Amino acid sequence: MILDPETDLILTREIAAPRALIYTCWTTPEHLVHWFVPKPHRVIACELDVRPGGKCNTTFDVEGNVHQNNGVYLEVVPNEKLVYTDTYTEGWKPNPEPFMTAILTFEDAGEGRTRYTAVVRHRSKESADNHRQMGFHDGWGTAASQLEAYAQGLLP
Amino acid sequence: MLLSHMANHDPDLSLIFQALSDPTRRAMLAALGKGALPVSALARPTGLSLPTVLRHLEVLEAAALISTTKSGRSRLCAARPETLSAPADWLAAQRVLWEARADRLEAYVATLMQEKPRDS
Repeated sequence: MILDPETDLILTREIAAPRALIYTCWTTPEHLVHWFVPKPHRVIACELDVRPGGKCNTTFDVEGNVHQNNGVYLEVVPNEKLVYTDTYTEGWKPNPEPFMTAILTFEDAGEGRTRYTAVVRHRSKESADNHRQMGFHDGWGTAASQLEAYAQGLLP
Repeated sequence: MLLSHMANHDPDLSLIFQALSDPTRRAMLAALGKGALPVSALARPTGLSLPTVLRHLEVLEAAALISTTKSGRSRLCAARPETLSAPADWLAAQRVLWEARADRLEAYVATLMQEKPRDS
């Protein structure tokens, strides 16, 4: 995959958990709500129909503002790979303001560990504008740094 | 932070990348990095004709990478470094979001592992 350094990002992490468990955290609403957005923001609704074309919908409460993020899965390989996008919503309805495609891979790194890779491909100018309109940057930027500390506190 | 910064300048990423794709324009920006310069001083090291230089400056100004002001008979050019950082800042903000998400996923999985140790 050739990445566009201006609009795509890739991050890799080795996580001390088997990939099946990480996959479950990504594909089960009961689990996803616990980690998907930084506190004090909340996932107030989550509907995941984990199959290509199935909905991948989350609703966030960001400082009292409700943000709906509706998308579909494009590729589903249990315990190995998930690709989803907001370019379409359920029933392949085009999203008037598409933003990104996320490609998540879970590779067995041995000894119960997983190499977790997220490739996130964005539209460029339009996506920056959309994101700004949603008022996400300030809230998320601040919360991300607060939550890094929170996440570290959870670690054994 | 980024939000207000971008709202003020509304940089067009395509224009920025197009403007930066030319070595002459990059050299001009680098020269302006040391401070504002009149067009004549910018043009001299390039050896290009004035209309060509003005065309390059137009491209840079359209991308909001420089600003120009008339000062008597000459035109003064100044860099707008805040624009240069906009595309990088934007992607960096996305990276922060996904890095933090991976942090939380890792932490959450760790708590699950403690509750219910499983075999891989």
